[in-house]
This record gives sequence, C-alpha cells and structure tokens, in this order.
Amino acid sequence: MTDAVVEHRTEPPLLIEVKELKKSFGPQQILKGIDLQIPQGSVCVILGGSGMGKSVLLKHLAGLLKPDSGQIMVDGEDLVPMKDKQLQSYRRKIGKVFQEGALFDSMNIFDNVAFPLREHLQLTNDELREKVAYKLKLFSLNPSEVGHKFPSELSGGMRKRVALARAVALDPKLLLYDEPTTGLDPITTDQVDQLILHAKAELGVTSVVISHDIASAFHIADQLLFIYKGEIVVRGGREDILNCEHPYVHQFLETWRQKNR
Amino acid sequence: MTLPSDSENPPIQWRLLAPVVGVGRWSLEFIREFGRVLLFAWATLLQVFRGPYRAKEFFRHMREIGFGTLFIVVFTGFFTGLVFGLQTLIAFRRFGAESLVGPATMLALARELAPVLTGMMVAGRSGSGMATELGTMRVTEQIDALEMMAVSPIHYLVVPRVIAAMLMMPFLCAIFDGAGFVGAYIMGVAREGVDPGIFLAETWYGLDPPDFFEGFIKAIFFGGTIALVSCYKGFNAKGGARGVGLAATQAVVISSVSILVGTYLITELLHPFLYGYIYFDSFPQVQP
Repeated sequence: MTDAVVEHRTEPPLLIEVKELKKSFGPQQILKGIDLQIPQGSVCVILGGSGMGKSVLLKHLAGLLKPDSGQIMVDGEDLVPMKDKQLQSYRRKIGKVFQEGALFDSMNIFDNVAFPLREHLQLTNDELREKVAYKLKLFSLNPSEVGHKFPSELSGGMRKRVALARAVALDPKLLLYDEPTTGLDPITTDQVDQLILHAKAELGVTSVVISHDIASAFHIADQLLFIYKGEIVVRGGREDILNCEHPYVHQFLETWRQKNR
Repeated sequence: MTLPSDSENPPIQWRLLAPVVGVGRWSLEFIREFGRVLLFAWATLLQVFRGPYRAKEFFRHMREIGFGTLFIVVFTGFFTGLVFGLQTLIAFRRFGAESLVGPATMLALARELAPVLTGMMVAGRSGSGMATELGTMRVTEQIDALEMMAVSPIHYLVVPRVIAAMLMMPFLCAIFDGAGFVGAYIMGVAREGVDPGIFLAETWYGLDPPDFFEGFIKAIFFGGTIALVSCYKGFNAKGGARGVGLAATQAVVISSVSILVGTYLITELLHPFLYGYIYFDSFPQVQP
C-alpha cells in the first residue's frame, strides 16, 4: 500500500487525458475511440502514415474540432462542452508550431513574435521589446539581427525557430507540433529536435508532436504512439514500437530501415 | 445525393434526365453557397462592435482601397463622362437639345454608372487583392495560426476590410462623378460649343441631391458586398496556388454579378423613398 502511494507521488500529474474519442466526417470514421494520457512536461510523439487521423487528433487537442463522442481533459478542463469564448481563453494556454511555420508574411519577425503579446497582454513598448527579445534569444536568435527581417528573408530552420518563439510567447503549458521536421534537411531536422527538447528543458512545457519521421521521433519522445486508421495500435517507448507485430507498423519500420541502410 | 444517373452505365431514362439533374445540383449548390455567404456576413456583423478596435489595420485598408483604386476610378470616370456625353450628344442633336448633355450624363452617372463602375474597379483591384491575400493566408495556415493564438480571424481580417470598403466606396463614387462631369463638360462645351453657363445651369437645375444619394447608398452596399464576397472566397480557398487563383477569379466574378443584380434591387427599393414626389404625382417642373 505504502509502495503504491510512493509510486503514485513520483509520477508527474497528467496534463492531457483523452477518453474514447470518436470523430467521423460524413460516412468516414476518422478516429475510432482514442485513449490517451500525457504527463506534464513530457514529449509525446504521435506516429502514423498520412490520412490516418493524426492531424484530426491534434485539432481536437487544440479545440478546433468537436468530437462526436468522448472526453478531452486538458489541464483539468473538459474541452468538449466548451463554448467558443471558453475555447478562445483555453487556446491562450497552448501554442502550435505549424508545418511551414505559418508566420505572418506581412509582418517582420519582431511583430510576428509580438503579435500574441499585443493581442492578449497590456505591455508597454519597453516590456514588449524585452519580452520578444527574450523569446527570440531562447531559440538562439539575435533580436537586433533578425527582428526587422521578414519571414521570406529567413532560411527554413530560422523560420522554425521564429515559429517556436512565437508559439511560446504567451508561456503556454502545452505545445502542439504539426510535422515539424517534414521537408527539412537532416541537419535542420536535428536542430528542430534540439529545439523541441530545449523548449521542454527550459520552459517545462508539455509537447505533443505529430510526425512520420521515425528517427526524429525516437530522438525526442518520452512516449510514442502509433495511429493506424483512427486507432492507436501500439504505445510506449522505442522498444515497444520496434517490437510491434502489427503488419502496418512492421511495414512502416521496414521501409524506414531499408531507406536508412 | 447519389442518383441512378451517377452510376457507370445509367438507365436510358436517367441519361436523358442528366441535364435536369445537372441544373438541379447546380441550383442546390448555388443556394447553399449563398447561405454560407450570408452566415459569413452575419458572423462579421456580430464582430463589428466587439473590441479591440484595430485602427491601424482599418486605416491601412482604407488607404489600400481608397488610394489604390483612385487613379483607375478617375480614369474610368473621365472616359465614361466623355463617351456618355458623346453618345447623348448624337441623340440630343436630333432634337436640338445639346444643352441637356450635362444633366443627362450626370443623372446617369450619379444614379447608376458611378457606383456600378466604381464597384467594378474596386472589385477588380481590391477585391481580387483581398481574396488572394486571405487565400494565401489560408493555404499557408496563417489563418489557423490566428485561431490558435485565440484571435478571431473574422475580427482581425474581415471586419476592417468590410468597413474600410463601405466607407471608401462613396468617396470613390463622388470622385467618379467629378471626373465624369469633367468628361461631359469637355464633350459638351469644348467640342459641341454649348455655352458654358447654360451647360452648368442645366446641370445644376437638372439634378437633385437625392440623385447623388442614390449613388452613394449603392456604393456603400457594393463596398460591403465586394469585401464580404472577396474575404469569403479567400477564407475558403484550398489547394495551393491554383485554389488561391480560383478564389480571386470567383471573388471578382461574383462581386461584379452581385453589383449588377444589386443595383437593380436597390433602385427598386430606394426610388419610393428618394423620389417619392414622382410617385405622388407632384414632380416639380424645371423652368427652362
């Protein structure tokens, strides 16, 4: 009994708990009863092929889609019955890093990072400048060097850094990454992995990453999930995925191995 | 809805009905799309009075719509006045009524041509720009990013554009009237030799303030329609560059058609209010 209590105390509390999540678009069922627990401060990577429901799951966590049934608890709040206004205030607690960064191309880098701060906080110009500079420096960007530049003037890796700086501007508890390493060269991919780990270590933020990049997933994940046709077919650590007998996971891994041989 | 005509080898009677099915489907889709635009307009209206008020964005769009289309509006207005004056002259010469070129041209411009043609110019320039900008923001996930930052995309992107277009259109319409008047004056006075005093006096007595109000009211409606339709199309763009291009084209086409249909409807609705005296049979006689 005592042991059980001690063990319970050492585990970090859950930030996300999803129960029996189901979602259909027309006749097509995309999510078929997803169960998910993600502890605070961890990195959870959701693996799977294209069109298997990863993005739909991520949109549910962001409160952008309502499930047909099921429960989504994030930081003690149930997202499902929330109205638009509550969802808006919920979204202030989360950040999302988009595949291509989704930086506003009509604004310079400073204004991009300052945008959420201007929208939601009443800061003086000095405070704003200080805060933006701090967020940019967190991801090894020099504010005086890149602040006045526009997103189109930066490299892919730099844009990812800015996107991360903007995503953490409001000090979110949860960061969602939508295929952050797709289409990047191996060096930039590694840099992005480091950034995700850096965000976790520096800010203690919980991360949910959707990806089909297995190498990168193995590198950063505390917990791995594999989604196939709207169901989680395997979950756990690296070994659990590698030893999985599911034919699709097996094929997925084999193809990856062959490519990396 | 799947019908027997959708199968690979439909029965003959369904093959014959295929055009009817096509028209039916098109009509249904048209009604659905119209409903979606109305819902979009409603969502925009709900956000209009909500803070924060984005003065900077608002002035930026006023400048873009106003200054951006100023030159083509002046240009179009001038040549419309010129050509309308010329055509009217040819017709009026038969009755020896050349001096009425001024009021005839200005009446047509103030009530109808200025708002419609200004609307077309704004749709072509600013409307397509709005659809392209918002469409690009949609396909590059910038609109999703706004939502993720708990900022309403309609409040941030659509409301300032719609209000700016509604405010700038009457001014552009007035400028069109002015440019058109210069065109008609050149045609009547410089080319046909109508006495400048008579030309000005005829124009002055031939027109009433409601003639201009009609044009301005139409311009306000057209401004709102152009911005709403263009933002709606941009907002719902999908499929990369091709989708954005399609959204821009559709925005201009739908705005232009809406302007032409709208001008008729507004004219029918407005006339009893603006020119009630015509309907009550007490039209003031203009003294020559």
